[in-house]
Amino acid sequence: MAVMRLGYVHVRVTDLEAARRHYVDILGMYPIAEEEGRLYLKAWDEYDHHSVVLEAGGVGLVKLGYKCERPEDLEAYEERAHRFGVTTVRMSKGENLAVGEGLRVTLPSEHEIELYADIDYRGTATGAINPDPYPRELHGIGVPRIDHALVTCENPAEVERFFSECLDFRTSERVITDPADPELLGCWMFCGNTPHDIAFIKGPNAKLHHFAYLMEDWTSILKAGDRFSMEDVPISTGPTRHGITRGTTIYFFDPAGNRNEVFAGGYQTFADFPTITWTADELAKGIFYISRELDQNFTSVLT
Amino acid sequence: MISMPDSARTACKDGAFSKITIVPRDVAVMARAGEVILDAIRRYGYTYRFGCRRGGCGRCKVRLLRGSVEETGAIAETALNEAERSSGLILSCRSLPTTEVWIGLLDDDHLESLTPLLAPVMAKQDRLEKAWVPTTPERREDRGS
Repeated sequence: MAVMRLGYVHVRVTDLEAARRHYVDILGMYPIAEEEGRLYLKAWDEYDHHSVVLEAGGVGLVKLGYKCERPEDLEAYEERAHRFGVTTVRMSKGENLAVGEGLRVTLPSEHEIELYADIDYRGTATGAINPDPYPRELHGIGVPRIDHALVTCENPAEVERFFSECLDFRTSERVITDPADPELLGCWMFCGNTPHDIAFIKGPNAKLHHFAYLMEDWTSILKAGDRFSMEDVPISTGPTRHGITRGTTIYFFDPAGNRNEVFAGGYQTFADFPTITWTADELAKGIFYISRELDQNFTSVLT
Repeated sequence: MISMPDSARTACKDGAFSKITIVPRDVAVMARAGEVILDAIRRYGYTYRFGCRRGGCGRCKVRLLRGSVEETGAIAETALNEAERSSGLILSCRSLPTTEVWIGLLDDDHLESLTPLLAPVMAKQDRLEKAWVPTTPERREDRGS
């Protein structure tokens, strides 16, 4: 029984057309479907129907979708969530375009996540028969796939307990205040083999810090940065490396002000991965490993 | 000879630039045609608190004391709400001056000169009269004088 990965992100955007230009023309996602005030997008190396859904009106996160291996898993998660004490609602097939039955959970941090097992299959742009390593016709930056999201919450310890007890996520890295009297300030958790599929840091409930695309390597990050400059995309930070996850990164903003990330690298995690701890006095090194300096917007720009 | 961008030449001739004065320091910059307040101030080598530059986070909020601006691009209600608008707050990343304007930074914000050499260069290019030119390095405490 397992949650496999972050399957989709629904974000609010103040201007759907401007967002389309950003996510489709600049980032290189493919528009798959369109409804009244909603645009469904997929990246070239993803095989499910969609991974990013833009919803017209406002800014911030609507919900995160985590794909589970089997439909039978959902009942077990529902029971665990009830025992934990969070609100759940069953989703029927088709409530989300192309998505099967599922379970909507309101986290202790007021974020909404959806657990599902079935979604329409589209296939990657390179296909599954004698494939090329990437498509001939990549447009824009050609982001391959989404990877993770970072949200803020008033009580990181409670959110960690939820993901661990209810969904079997494991913690790869933590930021604590002080080893002598540790309070949890941030937590990075995985359900697959990457450093994180979800992460949360102390801050207001219900807010989004960023969601990220997984790129191939450091060169792809630099090239993405060059394109951001050409296209006048505002940069939040980078290119640089994170101490936490070892990943290389650029944080940038979409036209509504939601923060995105292009991320590459990291390390492999397994069930026996020894959790890494960062202490608050080294937070700058953890977030921005090279400069070891926090910038003015890292903890304060949220949507 | 330093060549001026075409937009600057035309605008100087037509006088279509808008002067922005940041009180109480009386730092003045000129916004070029189509340039929002935040971008003009940064082009002069200054900085103050800002975030996404896209009207979504509210970090670049300043008080419009005198003059008028045109809102450009979408602004999220969570970034600037009705009450804030009524009290004279604007998002400097989404505000195009339509007249000469005077703005004030919020109490916990401050103006810093990142690159002092830029202010006189830009002032000359933009034909900004009586620009305040920093002659000493800015101190972080130096907000109101």
